[in-house]
Amino acid sequence: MIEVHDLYKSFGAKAVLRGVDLSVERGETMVIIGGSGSGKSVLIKHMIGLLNPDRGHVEVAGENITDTHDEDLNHLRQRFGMLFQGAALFDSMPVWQNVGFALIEHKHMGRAEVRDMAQEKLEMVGMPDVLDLMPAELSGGMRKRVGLARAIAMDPEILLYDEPTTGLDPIMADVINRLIRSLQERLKVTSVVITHDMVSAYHIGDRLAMLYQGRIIEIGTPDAIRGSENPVVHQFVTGSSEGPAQAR
Amino acid sequence: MPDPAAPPSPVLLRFPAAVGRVALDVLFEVGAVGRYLFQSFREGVRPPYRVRNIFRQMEVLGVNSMPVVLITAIFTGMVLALQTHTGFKRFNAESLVGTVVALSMTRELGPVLTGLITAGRAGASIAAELGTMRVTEQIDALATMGVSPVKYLMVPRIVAGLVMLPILTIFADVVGITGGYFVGVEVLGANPTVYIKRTFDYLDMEDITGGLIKAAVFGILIALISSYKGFTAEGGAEGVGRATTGAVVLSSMAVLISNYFLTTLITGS
Repeated sequence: MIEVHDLYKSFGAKAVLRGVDLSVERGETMVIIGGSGSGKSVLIKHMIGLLNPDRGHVEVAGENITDTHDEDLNHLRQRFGMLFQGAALFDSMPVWQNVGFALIEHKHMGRAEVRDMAQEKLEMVGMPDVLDLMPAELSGGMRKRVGLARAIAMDPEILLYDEPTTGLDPIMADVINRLIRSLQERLKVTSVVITHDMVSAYHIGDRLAMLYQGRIIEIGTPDAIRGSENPVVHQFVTGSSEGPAQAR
Repeated sequence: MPDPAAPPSPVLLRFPAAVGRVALDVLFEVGAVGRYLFQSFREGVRPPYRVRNIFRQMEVLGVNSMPVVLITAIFTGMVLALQTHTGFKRFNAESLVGTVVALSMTRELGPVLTGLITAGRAGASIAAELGTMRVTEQIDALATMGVSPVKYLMVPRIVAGLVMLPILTIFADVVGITGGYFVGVEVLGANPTVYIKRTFDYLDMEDITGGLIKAAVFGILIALISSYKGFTAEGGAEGVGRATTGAVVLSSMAVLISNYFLTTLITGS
């Protein structure tokens, strides 16, 4: 579904991605793990064409998203839903307009219809009574869930999650993890999650890939990653400051 | 005697290097702003036209700037009458105070003061709003939902600038001239009929339209530069602050510098 080929990206003198190859199968949940500043966000932003690589390319459902621009790219992006780290809700709009934004823009639905659809999606994420609240009135966990409702509003084929549990308390993190899992089972979407929260990674991932020094150094099932003999992977998943990887 | 073949000392090189770097930075920014202008035009001429966004920006950019513009204009017109009177009295030309106020306001002070005030007020608010949207990933979110941020956010602001600056300028012209009349007649004791006659006798339509053309260009520049600064903000709250300062400074400079060249073009000299 998503094919990343030999991706290179630098910002100034800093090489962030140095030849990333990754293949995400249709319907699976791929979790990309890695330390802060390892380039996880940069990688996921390439998958939806928010960033352009210096070299290499990304294919989505057979289409080269790296060479797609303007209207075609906007069209291709309607097959995606993305949950941002801080939810990135539009703070000038109430919740229902946030959730229904793409429906208003692309499907030209009327107000009542959009509100109905928004309500349906909000119920799916367990937030039935917030239609007319403003984003500023919501807590962090509620914002994430509204963000998730917005991400699934257009019934996407692919869902991208940028650190879905970061900044949440453990209970709310578990709520989000279960939600992601259940959405995957119900919607049968292909998902890519980036996180450094190993509890979350084991819970929601079909496969895990570790990004380190600009490359994918190991990829496998949660069990395989948990039992990895690669010293960097082992150090990361056990959460130790001692080992080959230096904290930055 | 120094050896002419020896490489210049690093200290001597530092100055031209710094000048070169600044020049490159300026060129880079001008190029980037130009690219956004081009993209805004290309995407702006295509439907849908987002009329509601445009009207909201017209309110933010124009209507909300009105009180400050009016206060500035009326006091500028009043001061202009006082100063002109003081100067012109020396060669018995007090009767031309109205003419000078009218020409100065319409040709120069109306558009430029309106431009500078809008650059400060609306420029800051555009850069802060879009900068916050940038650092909280709201602009990325727009893009991921298949909506062009340039079309959705930048184009309505540019259109609002293009429309509202001339309108603000008309108000500034009228209020400034009225302020001048008030001082000329009530404070300096000019004959009201003569003052009004002198105001309009030498005022051509071109004086007014020339000023409005300038204002329209200022409106585009302010909205474009401030949006650009917001779009390219990075690094959290501090970055938004830097973008806001940059937007005000850059768009004020753009108003003043473009004013000279626009005046050259309009007057044909």
